[in-house]
Amino acid sequence: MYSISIGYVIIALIALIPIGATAGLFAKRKKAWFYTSATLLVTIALLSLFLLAYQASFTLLQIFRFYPFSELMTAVFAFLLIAIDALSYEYSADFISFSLFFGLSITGMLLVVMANSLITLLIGLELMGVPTVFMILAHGRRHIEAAIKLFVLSALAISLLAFAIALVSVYNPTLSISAALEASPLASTGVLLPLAIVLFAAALLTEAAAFPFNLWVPDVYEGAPGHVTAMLAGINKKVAFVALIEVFFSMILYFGYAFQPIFVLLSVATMFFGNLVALVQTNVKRMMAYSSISQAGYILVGISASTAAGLSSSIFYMIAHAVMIIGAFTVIIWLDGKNIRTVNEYSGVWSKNPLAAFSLTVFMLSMIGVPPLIGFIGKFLLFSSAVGANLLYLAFLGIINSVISVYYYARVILSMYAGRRYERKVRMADIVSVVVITMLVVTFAFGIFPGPLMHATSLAGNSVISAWPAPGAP
Amino acid sequence: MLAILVIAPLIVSSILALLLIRHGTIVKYVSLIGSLGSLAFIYAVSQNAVSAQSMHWFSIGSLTVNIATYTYPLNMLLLWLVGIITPLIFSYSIGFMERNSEQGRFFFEMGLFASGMMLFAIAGSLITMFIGWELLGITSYLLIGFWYAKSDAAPAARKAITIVLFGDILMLIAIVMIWNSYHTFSIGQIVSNPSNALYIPLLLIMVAAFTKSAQFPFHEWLPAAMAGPTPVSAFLHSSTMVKAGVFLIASLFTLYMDAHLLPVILIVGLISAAFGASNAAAERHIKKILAYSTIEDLGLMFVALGLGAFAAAVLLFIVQAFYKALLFMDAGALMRTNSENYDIFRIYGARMKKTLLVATLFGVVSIAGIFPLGGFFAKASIGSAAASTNLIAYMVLLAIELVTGFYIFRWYIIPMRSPPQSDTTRMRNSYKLLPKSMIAPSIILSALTAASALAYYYLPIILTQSPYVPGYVFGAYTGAAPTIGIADAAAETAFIAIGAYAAYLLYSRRRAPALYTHRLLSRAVYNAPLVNRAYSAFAAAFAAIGSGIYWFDSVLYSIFRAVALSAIEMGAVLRRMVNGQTSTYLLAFALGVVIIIMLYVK
Repeated sequence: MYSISIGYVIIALIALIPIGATAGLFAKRKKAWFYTSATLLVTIALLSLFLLAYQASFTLLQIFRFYPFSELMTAVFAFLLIAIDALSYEYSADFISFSLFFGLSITGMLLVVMANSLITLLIGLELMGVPTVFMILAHGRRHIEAAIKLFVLSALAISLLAFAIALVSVYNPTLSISAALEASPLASTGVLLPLAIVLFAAALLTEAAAFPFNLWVPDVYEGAPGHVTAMLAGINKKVAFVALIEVFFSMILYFGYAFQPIFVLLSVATMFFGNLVALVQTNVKRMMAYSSISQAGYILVGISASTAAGLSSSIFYMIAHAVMIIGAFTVIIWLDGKNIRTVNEYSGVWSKNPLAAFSLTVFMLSMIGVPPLIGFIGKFLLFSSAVGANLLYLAFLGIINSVISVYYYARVILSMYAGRRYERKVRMADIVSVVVITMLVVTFAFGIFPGPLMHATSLAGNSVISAWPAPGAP
Repeated sequence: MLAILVIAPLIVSSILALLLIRHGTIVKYVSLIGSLGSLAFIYAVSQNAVSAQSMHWFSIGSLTVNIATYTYPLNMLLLWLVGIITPLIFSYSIGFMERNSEQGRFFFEMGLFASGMMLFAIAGSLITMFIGWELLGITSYLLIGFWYAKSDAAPAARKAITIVLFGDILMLIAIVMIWNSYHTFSIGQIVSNPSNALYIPLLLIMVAAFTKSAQFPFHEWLPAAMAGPTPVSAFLHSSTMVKAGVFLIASLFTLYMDAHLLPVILIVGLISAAFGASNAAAERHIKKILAYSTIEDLGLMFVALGLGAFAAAVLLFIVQAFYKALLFMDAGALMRTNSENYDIFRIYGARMKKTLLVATLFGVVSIAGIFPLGGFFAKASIGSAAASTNLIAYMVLLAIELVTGFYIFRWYIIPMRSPPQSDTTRMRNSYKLLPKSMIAPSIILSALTAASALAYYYLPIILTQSPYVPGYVFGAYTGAAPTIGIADAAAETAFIAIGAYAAYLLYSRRRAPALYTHRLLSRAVYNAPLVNRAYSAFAAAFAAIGSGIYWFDSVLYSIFRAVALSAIEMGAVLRRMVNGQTSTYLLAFALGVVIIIMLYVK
């Protein structure tokens, strides 16, 4: 089988990233390493897309699992990580040592995506989280508070996750995610399984930033250097969602426990918390932190629906949001570097740099859900999947939240076009504008022609759910 | 060959025009090349007679939206008309738009306008058609208001968009209703399966067509639209925009026949034609006369459709495109030489440019309907159709012919007077300065006007084999060839001759301006102010309703405002949870876990 050998190649390439970064420490060739890592990531992404095209499905070494969901997410994350890599190249004080942590983090992320065992998942999340703390610290003492907060909360989350794994091992002694399906279902009479479920949810939703496990988010997003924030909001969070989907839809659903109500509650609370608090923010970076919390709530809508359509739309929206938020943060950190931080200071950005103003407008409109942008398609799919799963009220609350969010996004947009006029235009660095334009193109392209992405996400969603036992599943 | 490609060169040139907006000199040639490119593609597309193509755009659930095109003889005719006239208009515009700073914007909008019409022409699905239809509406708004600094441009553009959008909304309702009963957007499938469910959508589409084609009572936006640049008028009146409505009815002709709606079309067409002719006879604005005559021509097309004389309508459809473009080009040239004066009594010296004078004569003869130009065949075949089926309509048509002969020669004769002695040299000079790019299209168009008479003989050959042409669906074909009775043609010519002679008598001498002040005559025929007053009354009524709604709205608004303020207040309260203390976060975390456990772990 070619596909299995391609799987080995992908894993080898992933391993090459931290190894190469370590070698880079001695070589001190900044540019060379940037191109090398970008090439590695592109190769990983293309190989995954290749596997996705053939809908390959197999497990490797018992701990890695390749199926359309993991293949799609690997490809998406690899592509997006190139953007983060580019931003770090531009903004990092010490790109070489930064990339070591970054490379380790990448390994962790892709490990989580491909995990077939709860242990792999745990190690992957740990490997993703700890270097992130150092990535923040690498930019000087003033980021120390953000780093500590991230560290404490993710340590707590990881410990809860370990505890949850211990609890669930009673029911699933192999700790394998997909192999659990082959064991016979246990009646969920005991208290251990529900407890494990809650702990799983709490642990994974910490990184995914759902209320009430999200209070660290605004401080960390605001305190961390911009490109790390973009990664936290754009990728780490989505990785946590991927882990959530793997754990709940590949494993726990099989035990026949209706976890749906937990997510409905958390989804509503998260949407409202994020949007309401964002209303009163004046610092744009912090506002976007809250906005990304509320967007996590939208993603949870699809997960609450717990149908193939819901899952597919959640995956779609995860990808959409990752693109939008990375694009938005790219603009925001560029402006941050020009000492433009609050909504009032944003006035007249249009005259300073039209590209920045236009692209931030597009990303924000897309987050509101305005056609023909990718965010509109995502929200449309999410809310229609909620309606399809008889959760009409959830769709309704989601729409109310979209309306609330118009207020604070519109404030920023209006501010950029009105008010003060700058005499001189300021250009973005080439690499930054390339990132912005790429995200802009993606936002428009999949908004106007959503077909291919919708096809891929429904493949991914179905591949997670098709493994279910047909009857009895909720 | 993908039919949709015909719009590609124009779209590309429009985008280039936008990108090169500061380089007017390049833009105009780029756009001309773009329009010629489209013409070449039209030639390529017309190689295969009937073809349906569709590209998947997106689908939501069971709703699949395609960009579908369908080419058949009737719409290939329209496509050819647009394709031929577009480069001519563009060439005219090169001379006409002097200021380079305006070229980029102008050609961007013109290119989109032309491609909107082409898209509309080749549309095979209701959605594609609606995109073209809307593109026409929006770009016509931009083009009519092109000289936005002029005091009459913005109101004229607003008037046009208001009326046209009214039609657009009806159109959208009709599309939704059709989707509801047919679950398809494909026009071909809908046309070949007529049913009662189509009755109301057809009514709505008919009204939409009347708004687009400026028929009574929606016709007044067209004269107002004369505030736009002359190339826009020439384009709008010949092959694009106003023709869209007629074409729509013509392409759905069999459905209207089935639904017994033809008499409505006939009556509206007659009223519009009469209004157009009478206003044209009294108007003094050189372009507005032509605008009213367009209303008349479009009315005649609807009359022909209403009489069931499908081929006669199509004939006039083709012929009118050429002569109307020609006449507008001449009007623009005359206004240019007379320092933008638009009053025909202040325009002098048309004799000073013989080429233009002769070229225009072709248009005048054709629009009047004098043998042997195209207009004669078209109008005579409409007259013959009326004479054999509906005598009252025939009478009205003859009266309209008389007035047509009168006003068009009035339009032609008055500007021929010599200017005052002191002005002669200056005028001669300004006629000499007319750019070649403005003259050349007129000459080409006059040749085409002459050649369009051939359409009378070739139409039966072209209009075959299509579900849209009535004969094909209803077995034995009666309406394929336009027919002309000798007696009808003679009567028609006589009436025109009387009208023309009256114009000659009245206006060939300088007594004319005095004669115009006959208030009785002008009150009776020049009813445009009345129509405009009716529009204002309608607008005032809606404004009154609107202010009532506004009051209600302000009550609602205060409620919503309270809700919104409370949301912000809630945000301010919730914000205190995020106080920067990690211990608080940990507490919230722990509390959250405990609460969820208490709720769900039983």
